Amino acid sequence: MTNSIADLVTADVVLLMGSNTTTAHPVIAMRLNQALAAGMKLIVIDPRATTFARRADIHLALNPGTDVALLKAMMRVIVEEGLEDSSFIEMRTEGYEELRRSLEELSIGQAAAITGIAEEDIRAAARLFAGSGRSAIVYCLGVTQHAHGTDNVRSIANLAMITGSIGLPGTGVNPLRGANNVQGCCDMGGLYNLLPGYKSVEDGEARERFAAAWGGEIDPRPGLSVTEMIEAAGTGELKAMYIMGENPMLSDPDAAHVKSGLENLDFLVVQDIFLTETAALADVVLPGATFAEKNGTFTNTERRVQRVHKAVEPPGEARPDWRIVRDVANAMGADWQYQSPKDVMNEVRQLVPQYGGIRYARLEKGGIQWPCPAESHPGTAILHQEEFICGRGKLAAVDFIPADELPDDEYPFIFNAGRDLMHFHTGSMTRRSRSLDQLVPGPLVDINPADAAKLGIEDGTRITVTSRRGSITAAARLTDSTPRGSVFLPFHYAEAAANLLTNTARDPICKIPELKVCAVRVEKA
Amino acid sequence: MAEAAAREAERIEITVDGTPVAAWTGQTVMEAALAAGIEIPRLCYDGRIEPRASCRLCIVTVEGERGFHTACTLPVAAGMSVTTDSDELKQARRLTLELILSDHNAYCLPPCQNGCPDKLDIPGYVGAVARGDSREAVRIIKQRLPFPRVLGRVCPRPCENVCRRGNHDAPVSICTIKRFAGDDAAAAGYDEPPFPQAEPSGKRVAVGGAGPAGLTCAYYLALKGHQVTVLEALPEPGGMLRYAIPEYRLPTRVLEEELEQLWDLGVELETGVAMGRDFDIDGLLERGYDAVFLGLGAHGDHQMMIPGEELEGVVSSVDFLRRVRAGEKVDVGKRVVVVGGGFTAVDAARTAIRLGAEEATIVYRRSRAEMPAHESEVEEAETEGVSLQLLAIPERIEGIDGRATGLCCLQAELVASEEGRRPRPVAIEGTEFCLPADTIVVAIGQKPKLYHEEGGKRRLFLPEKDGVRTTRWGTIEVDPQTLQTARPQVFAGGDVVSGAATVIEAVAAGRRAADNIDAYLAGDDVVAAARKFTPAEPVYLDIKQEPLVETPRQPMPMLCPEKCCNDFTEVELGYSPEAARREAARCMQCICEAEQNCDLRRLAIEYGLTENRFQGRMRPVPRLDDTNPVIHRDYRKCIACGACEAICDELVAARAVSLAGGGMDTYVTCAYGRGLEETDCVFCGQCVSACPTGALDNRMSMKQRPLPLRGRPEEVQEVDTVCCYCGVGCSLTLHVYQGRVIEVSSQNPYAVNEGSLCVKGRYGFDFIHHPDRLKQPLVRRDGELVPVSWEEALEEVGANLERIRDEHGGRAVGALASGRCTNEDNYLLQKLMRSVIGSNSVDHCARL
Repeated sequence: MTNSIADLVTADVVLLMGSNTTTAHPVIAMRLNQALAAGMKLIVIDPRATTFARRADIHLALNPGTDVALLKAMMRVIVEEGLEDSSFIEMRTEGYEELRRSLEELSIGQAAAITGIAEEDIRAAARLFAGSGRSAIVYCLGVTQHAHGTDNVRSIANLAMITGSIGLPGTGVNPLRGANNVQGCCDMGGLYNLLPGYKSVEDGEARERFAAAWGGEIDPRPGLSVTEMIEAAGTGELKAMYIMGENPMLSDPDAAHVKSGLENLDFLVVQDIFLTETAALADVVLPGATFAEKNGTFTNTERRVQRVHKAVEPPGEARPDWRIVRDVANAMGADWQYQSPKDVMNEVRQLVPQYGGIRYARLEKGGIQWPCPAESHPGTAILHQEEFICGRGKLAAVDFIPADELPDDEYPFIFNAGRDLMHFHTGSMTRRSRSLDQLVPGPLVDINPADAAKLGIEDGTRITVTSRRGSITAAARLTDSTPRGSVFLPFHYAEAAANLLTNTARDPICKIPELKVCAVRVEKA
Repeated sequence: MAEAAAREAERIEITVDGTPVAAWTGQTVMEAALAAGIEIPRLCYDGRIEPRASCRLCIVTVEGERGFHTACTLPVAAGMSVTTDSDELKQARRLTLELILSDHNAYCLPPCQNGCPDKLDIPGYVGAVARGDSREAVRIIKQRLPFPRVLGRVCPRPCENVCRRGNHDAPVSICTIKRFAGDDAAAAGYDEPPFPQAEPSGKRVAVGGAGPAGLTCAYYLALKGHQVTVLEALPEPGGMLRYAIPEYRLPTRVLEEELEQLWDLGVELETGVAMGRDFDIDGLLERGYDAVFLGLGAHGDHQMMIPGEELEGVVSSVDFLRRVRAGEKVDVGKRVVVVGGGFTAVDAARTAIRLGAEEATIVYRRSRAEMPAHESEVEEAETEGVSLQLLAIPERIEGIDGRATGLCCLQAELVASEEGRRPRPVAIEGTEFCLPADTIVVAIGQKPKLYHEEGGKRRLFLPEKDGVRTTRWGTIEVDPQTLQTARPQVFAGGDVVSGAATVIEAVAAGRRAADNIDAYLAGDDVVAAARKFTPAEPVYLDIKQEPLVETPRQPMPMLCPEKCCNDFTEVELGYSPEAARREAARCMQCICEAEQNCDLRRLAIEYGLTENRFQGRMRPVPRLDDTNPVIHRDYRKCIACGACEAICDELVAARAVSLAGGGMDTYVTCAYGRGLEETDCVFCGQCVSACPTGALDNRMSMKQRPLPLRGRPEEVQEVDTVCCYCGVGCSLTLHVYQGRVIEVSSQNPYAVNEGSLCVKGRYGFDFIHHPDRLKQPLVRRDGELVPVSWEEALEEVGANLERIRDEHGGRAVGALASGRCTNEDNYLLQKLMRSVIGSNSVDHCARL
């Protein structure tokens, strides 16, 4: 997030996009509820009639995968009606002319046809967003999990910049991170092309700095992304994998493909707290510790580095993960002397400027938001206040590209994978928490009652959902929240793994796969 | 809008209780005061919701304005001067609390626990026995009482008189369950203290008197790390336990085994040294003791003050029992009369039978129902051949040649006394009758004896120069709360303070004194410490009347009467494990789960509301709803403050909660009286976190919370950490008990979530202790994953990764970091990949 959670509620209007906030980020939803009661305006862009879509001033129920067209049309309205922030555009950005020209390529009428949203609604949303004081954009995986997710995010950035909605309280481009430490994992260089602190592996100076600190040399070529690794495992190009705390068997697209890839590896080591579907395939399984059993830090969606305190001992011989990784390194001949996570963070502080002032002792009172370059620095609640990191904000012309796999006669429904309130990710934790499991014991496929009626499906009917890659069976739930022509299934459930169906088509830049759109057929089981 | 206004707020200053406090315009007095660390009493206030002013406890006065204002709704104004604490405000708040409590139909403490002078966690240890866990039961008991095996045999069990099970069939046999737990744990060899002994403090304490008060005090002081020496006048330790209670009721062996734990803790014992003769207060302090506890007991006899009392053959019960216990040969003759109705009288009569008396008669002034001895003791005595002469007032003792031959009495009738007192016996003229007797034992009570008799002169134990004051009843004067005497280094408790009372009262005094002495030695405020350790408990109306299956009380197995009366073998045999479990299962567990975090209870204690003058009204509300997997609702405890409804509406926007009833009968339930599942409830538990009482509770935590937890919040560690689910990074407070997370809340005042949590954060934590957890490294051998040592597993991983790196290059290896692991975990994994293996192929799924 460029801004902070507490700051969000000071917005006059929030544009919520691809986020079922009440389900995936309920505590942020609570804040938004309070702000709505106090008069904040809300625009929701989502194909599904989520709880917030029902509470919104304007709900734009776009056809899945048509976000770029919708945002371009909104920007066109803004520019046509003179609602843009000219001084911000002039002082802080570059590429405006190019962007403006690209907007002209798509008429509002065309956009209405692509997105399935009436012209008037597009205009109303644009006016509300650009004409209401402070405007913030909040988005989630509904925006990024597309083959053109980067384009979606760029379009969001364009919208924020041309309306001057960045760098001030109550504004910003604010992705909500799905897991507790995705932000930190990226910060720490858990990315195939970026070193800790977002330095490119292709940046020779950065490579040298890290190599000097770590010893040895760093490969100047970017590595493989998750989905590429799975493919390379399948072709035999990748021989070994070390998987820590992830369960790609359920979380990655086209599960059958994931399984054959992992099985084809020469050596697979999995470090986890349970024998997950992925761990069951491993050659070596290393028992790790839960968050309650270790010390360290998590970085939340607003870049806040917070202290994780150990509360209980890990069971049996299970060990904290940092210690296991250290011992593996030492088993391979390294000489790592870390005695505690604090030692690790002290090294991070030396190498990652954003974390320069992150000392454990400073984190006890609510943590610190990076960038925090020095111990005297209080942290940064709002990014890009004076200027962007790269100087001027780059406005980019973006073309609308349809989703990779769209419905046809054989597979007439759009399949959308997402989350339930009661469960999390691949369910390895929540499905082993009795009360959550009691509240929602298993998967339900959401389908619109009109579609269900045509297929003779009733609430609770067992149905089979089939894509080109696989098939699952689960009970149906009839709900208006899912639009006609699409079905929705949370991906937490191994017994009806949503990712048996999903498409591995991925974004060319960030390599995120298109989990939100693929074509399926629906039948009674 | 409020947020826009907040952006333009101005800094102003107000005065709260004379202290300048910085505030922002637009804030309320409550917000400004809390931000400045000034507490204002409140129940319905929750910073997350719009103030409701419904509890009216946060009233304050404003200089220059009339009447009370509720601080939660009163806007600050520059220069405003607010008073939050005055006699007038206290009085008004007290009245408000009394009204709230008038129909708050719930216990704070279970009646048995409240009825116990030592406030033992009875449902806790009875529950542990019901689960078959005697060791845990003993651990719970020893938190407040070091001698479960002794008290399990001799306690007068005031708890059983108030046991609510007694309203249905018969009270739970609490005392015998305690005895079972103690004997069972001892037989299994468990003798550990309830908590680890503290490091040596370097402080020394002298304890005068090795009776139940002194020994208990010594035990807890030793556990707290102090060096304790017990000084005892008699040859052996135990006081009345050893010298007054007969062997058949409390075998010496049991007493000595339980005393072992004191010596194991390093308590030293000097016997044969008497206060006032061999040592005095000044002397002890000069010898380097930092504090003194006096538990000198009550060794003086009350006398009947009737003619003939000086005759030979008239003995005091204490002398009599002591001589028997000390092994002296005592000849009681054929007929023995015992005067009195207490334990000692029954003990003396039963002892007389064992010494060969053919007849033993207990003479008591009132009727059987008023006898202070426990019913079961009286019954056992009768079984053994003791007869009762009730409603008889001794008038004179007959004698020949200086030797008593009989006791003459008048018949009595009972006349009602003022309320709360026992009926008074009044002699009926002309009804005299005489009981022939060879020995007359006077068991009408003891009193402290704070002097030695030397050649007919009394030498006081505590001369004025010692600075310890005594009362006109001959007891030591102490502050009733702190048990501190007029001399600050000296504390006292037990019979020497209370007059002759029960063992359990002496034990309670010893334990309280130990707590207070510990605070004194640490230089803490003893009064504050005492208040913390023994809050005055509010007691409220009970309307729970669950239908119960009638289950008879398990009988106590006894030595058969033919065997029992020839010697001093223990008569009561104690429960078998099966009987103990069956009996313990009869306990109704009358506990309030919210006891430790109920704001209403805290305020009631603070305002000294131990009884309620408006008590008695019952609201027509449903009983409780425990059908939901996460939220437990007990309507009787609802004070209709509306905080739950507000938080559900304002934050969650689920409108699952609404008010029902109306007027004085208002309570909070679900809209249209439906179950929570039928509403839009998202089970986030925000309502539970806003509830100031136990009306709403976390059902799962209630189940997880082991019963023994109650009453000992210090055994639960609270660890602030960060949630493991979504990216918001809510601060979680993990409540840890015996190495397990049993509850989750959010207490950190700096938290990004401001105390709010969702259903996963609050209730999704039992995966931590799930049996499926991986506990050992596994390596695949012949297609199967088999457990191996860490060395073997690391060797396997290291060798394979090295082999593949060396054969195919580092780029043939990939790794998945994790959006759920820590920064440190992830940093090291990518460092391993990049610097040891030589591959940039590290990524994670969760960013998808």
